[in-house]
Amino acid sequence: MSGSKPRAAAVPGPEKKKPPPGTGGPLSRLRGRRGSGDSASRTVLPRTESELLALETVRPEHVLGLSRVTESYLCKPEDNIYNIDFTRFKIRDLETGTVLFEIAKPSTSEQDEDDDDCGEVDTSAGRFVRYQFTPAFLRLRTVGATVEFTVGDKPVSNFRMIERHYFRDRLLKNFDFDFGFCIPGIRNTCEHIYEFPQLSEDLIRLMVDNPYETRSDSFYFADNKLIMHNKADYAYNGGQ
Amino acid sequence: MDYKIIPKKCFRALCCKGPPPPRPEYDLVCIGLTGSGKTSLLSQLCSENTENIVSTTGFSIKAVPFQNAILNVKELGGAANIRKYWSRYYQGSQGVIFVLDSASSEDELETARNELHSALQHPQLCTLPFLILANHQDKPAARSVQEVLPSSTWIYRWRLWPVSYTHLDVYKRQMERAFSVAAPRLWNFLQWRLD
Repeated sequence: MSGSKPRAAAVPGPEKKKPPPGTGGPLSRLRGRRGSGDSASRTVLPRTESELLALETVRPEHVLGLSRVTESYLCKPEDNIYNIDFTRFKIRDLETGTVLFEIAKPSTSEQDEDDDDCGEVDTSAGRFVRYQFTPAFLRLRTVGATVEFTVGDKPVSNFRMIERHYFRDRLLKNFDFDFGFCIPGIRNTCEHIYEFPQLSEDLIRLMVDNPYETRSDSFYFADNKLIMHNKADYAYNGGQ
Repeated sequence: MDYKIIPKKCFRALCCKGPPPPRPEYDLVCIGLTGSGKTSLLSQLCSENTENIVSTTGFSIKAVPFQNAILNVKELGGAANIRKYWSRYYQGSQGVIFVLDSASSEDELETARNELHSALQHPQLCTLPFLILANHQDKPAARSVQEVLPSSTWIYRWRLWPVSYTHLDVYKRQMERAFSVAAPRLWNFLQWRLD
């Protein structure tokens, strides 16, 4: 009753953590949660797709200015001069550890697909994936997405992924991951944490009722030059 | 008056069912010779199936969730041709987990000790705390932790834990406790006695 506010530290718990100075290196970018679309525009200019298509080289700061998913690809398949190949993808709920979805690229003609109730995938041309999840997926808080990829004969410096998720013309979330250096001829695995943005009930309803209007662009850079561009779209009405 | 018809939205607000506060995160690098058990131990922390584990070749970045913390661990392959690249991944780390096979040959153990020594002195790691796991304690040929790392040789800023696959629950509890206390700075845990 003395008027002091209840102390947040009354229950022992973690303080809000800011990264210590000098540790803003590659690993700190893997969290992705600081790449919120709302705050992405410190020194970023708004860009249109046609502006970027006219550029000689597309750089990370260019795609960070995009306000909607692109209609076309911003690079050609042959721009992947490092022969980076994605071989496995897995999603798990970090709250429970449950694997929600996993798919591995068939090594030969044999399919190695594990179809969970939550997802079905249709692939085409290797640069586009279509996902179908149940509505429950949008209620998840923290998800770990594991990507496995191989690198060709040349080492990759500063391999970086920027992934942007949109519903219609609205940016939901921006993820920015710096893998750093990639050893040539080697397979690597990366799991990054996706913390779901807070979605209003209305938005959830819209996303469920409008399958495949949630879309994402994944841009991959080596030494700040765009080398790969993958796309995906998502439905959340699975099982209905 | 009819308490049953409180709309869901209001009920949730009243019960303060907002999102839980974000957990603090620690960026760690996990190194050690190939076969020391790095992937298995990290997978165990995530309660993942360890049956089909293959040798890590390049890097394997994993998010290890604890109740009150998340570890972002960059595990690096330990084969000889990969070790020369380890230092490319040190920048940005806040701590190191080094895994040793307590039951390896003396030559291999000496190689592991040398790699550990190099890592302890590397400019980008020399101020960071090291958690050293003397793994495979359950094997008949396993050396004691004192034999694995004679303590007089090493400096203060590390902790050495024995780990065996027959007592993984102990290891998991220790890890959870080490990273789940109020102090957010990783190196503070070195001041606590881990009995």
